[in-house]
Amino acid sequence: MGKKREREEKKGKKREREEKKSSLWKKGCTLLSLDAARCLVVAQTQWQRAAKKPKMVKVSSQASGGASAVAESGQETGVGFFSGEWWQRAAKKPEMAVVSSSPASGGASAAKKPRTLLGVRVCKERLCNGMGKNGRRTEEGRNRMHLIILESDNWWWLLRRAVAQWRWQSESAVGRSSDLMATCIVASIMSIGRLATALCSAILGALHKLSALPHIEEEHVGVLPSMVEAELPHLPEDLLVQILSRLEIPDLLRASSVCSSWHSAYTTLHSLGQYKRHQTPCLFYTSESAGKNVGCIYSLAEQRTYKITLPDPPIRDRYLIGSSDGWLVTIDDKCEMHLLNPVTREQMALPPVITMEQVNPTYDESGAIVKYENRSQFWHDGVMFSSRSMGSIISPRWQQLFLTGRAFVFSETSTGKLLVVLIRNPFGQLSFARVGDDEWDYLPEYGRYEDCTYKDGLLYAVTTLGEIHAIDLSGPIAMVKVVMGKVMDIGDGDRNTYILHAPWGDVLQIWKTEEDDYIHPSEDDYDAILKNTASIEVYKSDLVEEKLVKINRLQDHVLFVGHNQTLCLRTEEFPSLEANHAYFTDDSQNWITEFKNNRRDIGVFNLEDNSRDELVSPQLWSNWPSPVWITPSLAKLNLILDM
Amino acid sequence: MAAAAAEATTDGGGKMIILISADGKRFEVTEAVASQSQLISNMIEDDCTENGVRLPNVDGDILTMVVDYCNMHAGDAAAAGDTMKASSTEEELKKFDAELVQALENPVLFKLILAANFLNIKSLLDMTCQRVADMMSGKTPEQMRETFSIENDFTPEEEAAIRQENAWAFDD
Repeated sequence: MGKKREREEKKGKKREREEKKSSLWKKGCTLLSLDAARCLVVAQTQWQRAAKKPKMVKVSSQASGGASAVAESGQETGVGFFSGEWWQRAAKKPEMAVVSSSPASGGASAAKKPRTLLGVRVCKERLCNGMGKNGRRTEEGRNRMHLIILESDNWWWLLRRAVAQWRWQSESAVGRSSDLMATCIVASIMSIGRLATALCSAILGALHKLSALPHIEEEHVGVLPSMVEAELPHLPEDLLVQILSRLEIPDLLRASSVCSSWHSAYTTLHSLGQYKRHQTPCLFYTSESAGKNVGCIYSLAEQRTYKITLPDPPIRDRYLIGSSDGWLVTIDDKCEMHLLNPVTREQMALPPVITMEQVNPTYDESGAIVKYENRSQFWHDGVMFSSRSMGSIISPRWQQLFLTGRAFVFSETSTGKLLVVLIRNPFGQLSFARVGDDEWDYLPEYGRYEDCTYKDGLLYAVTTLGEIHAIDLSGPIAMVKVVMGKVMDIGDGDRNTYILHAPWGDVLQIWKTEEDDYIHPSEDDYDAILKNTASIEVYKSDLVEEKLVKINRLQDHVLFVGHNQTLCLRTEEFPSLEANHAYFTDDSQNWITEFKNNRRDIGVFNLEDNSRDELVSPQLWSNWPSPVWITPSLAKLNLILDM
Repeated sequence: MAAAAAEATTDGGGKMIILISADGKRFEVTEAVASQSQLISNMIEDDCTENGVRLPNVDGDILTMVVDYCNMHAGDAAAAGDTMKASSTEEELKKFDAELVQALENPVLFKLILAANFLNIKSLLDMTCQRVADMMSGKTPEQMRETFSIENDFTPEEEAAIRQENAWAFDD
């Protein structure tokens, strides 16, 4: 009896649900019938009105322009679908139709209205429906698109309906191949985007197939068509994109030339920038034989070199002072600084060095700068550091390095701009500028920094004495907070200190210590002097107790140290790298500058037993400029600037 | 019959879900196993599974693999609550996964990707996509075409233009 009542109750609930659904369908949904050429343009207004949330989705005008272009070119219909962040089509010319909604409004509204659903239905049919507002009629047989907007919790119901309709339509298509009819409902649900994408891609795949193939006959008749032929080139584009997003950049670029659908997927991936794979670091170097303008990238993943011709000034005349997120920071023999992405060959000038505090140029009669004077001075722990006592005029041979030191590029959290940070010689003071600025800004009263890293809007810099400062550069005045006091009183000239945020959250300090070595017994033979990495030690910075705790083993992790932004990577993601090892390059600045042509100390250091291995033999690189690690990136500067 | 089966419960009290492949094969799995598919998990939430879940675009052979995979990985979710009941250790899982994708012929692998995508099983989709990516790595465009039986549909000019854009990646 109880069971019966339960069943009754269930039935009642079900009825209630169905009623709710159908009334929702009538009330809440607006069906727009539009022809393909105008659909997106109209979508911009109609669709927003339909959704009764005019600010919910902002399709940019460039977006609708692109989509119209597709329709006019007489291509098969491109289908756009919207999800919180992007509006993308899955047909053949993505460069025209990859459209982005404004990330800010799209993202924010997605958060606010997580259950909004948009369906796009495309069909090629004979119906002649009025266009409504403008009174035009669609032509016979033309592609038509319906947009269905449903603000509802009952998205699943719509999806099922969509599938049912699609099945019906595609079956009739099979029946009447002369009047090919394909219906597609693309649903995108902001909160449950994956499901929608899954459905979209399956149906889009079918659409593509149905309209591309002239004969869909006996074999499919009476059977539900298998949605997509399981061949790689015919995988829906979003899946191809997913696959490509897992490749190392050289593989990705080669894959883009395999066939048109792969190229199209590559273009989409490139514009969306959703790379799944973190690139394995490579060694960036130059060599005399390759030429003055050629940069070489040694891939650890492939154990081979790629050679890239780079824009002027010649890369072999530049000092490599930093490397972060695919960007190299260089300073040339005229003391001009650049950001350079060697993979895309994109380059951007940084503000001139004379805009740096305490750097004064000396001009000759013609007005050209002949040399710079570095009048650095600052107080630290009651001691005055002054470059006057060191000879303030910088000789041309030294000046590149003496003006700068180490450089870093971070994507600033508050502005999205690229923030370039310099740790300047000789006292490790900090200068900074955003890409596009005219001059360098600087952080007075602090110095002796050795390395820095950036997280959640704060710059973390470590000093020679192991002190860690958290620096907020976002406001008009830089705010410095000491998050860990010094761990020693006197710095060690042979030791370089690095700082980074480990993937597991700790702030690590790494100490790399060098020792002198000689090829020949005679110590007077300067060319014979070698520097060798003697030890690399890893410490966890305990910010509460303000002390360092030694880490003896880096389980499943690997380090990259040198003139690059210090990295700690999980070996699980990078099968070609050795766990518990540090990949290092030579970054002992005075040494590099003074002994330009001596052998550089580059290799792989085993943290287990302090032994070291050559990276590759024989040596590929010239000793000058000293090679650096780089994490290749296809990110475009323009995009970053636009944000 | 389907309805009766759908009402059936396991020892643990979990509901059973019937999955029906394109060619009509039926698979009976627990909710925990089926829920690894976000699609089915949403259907369960919405109470849409009473008459079995029809998967019109997944073949029986592919669904067999998917169900195997989900059975194997159902432990993951359960393990969070009860480590003793975890059906397999992490190492076993890794081995199982590796063997699953390694053994597949291309068309089957792609069908599995489509199924994982449709059913929205993220871990399976990641793994299968990664497998395809691994098959591409270190290859020239010609080798990639050969591996995946792809026809080069570019005109020579188009292809040259694309290669020229990043000529460095094409050097041997």
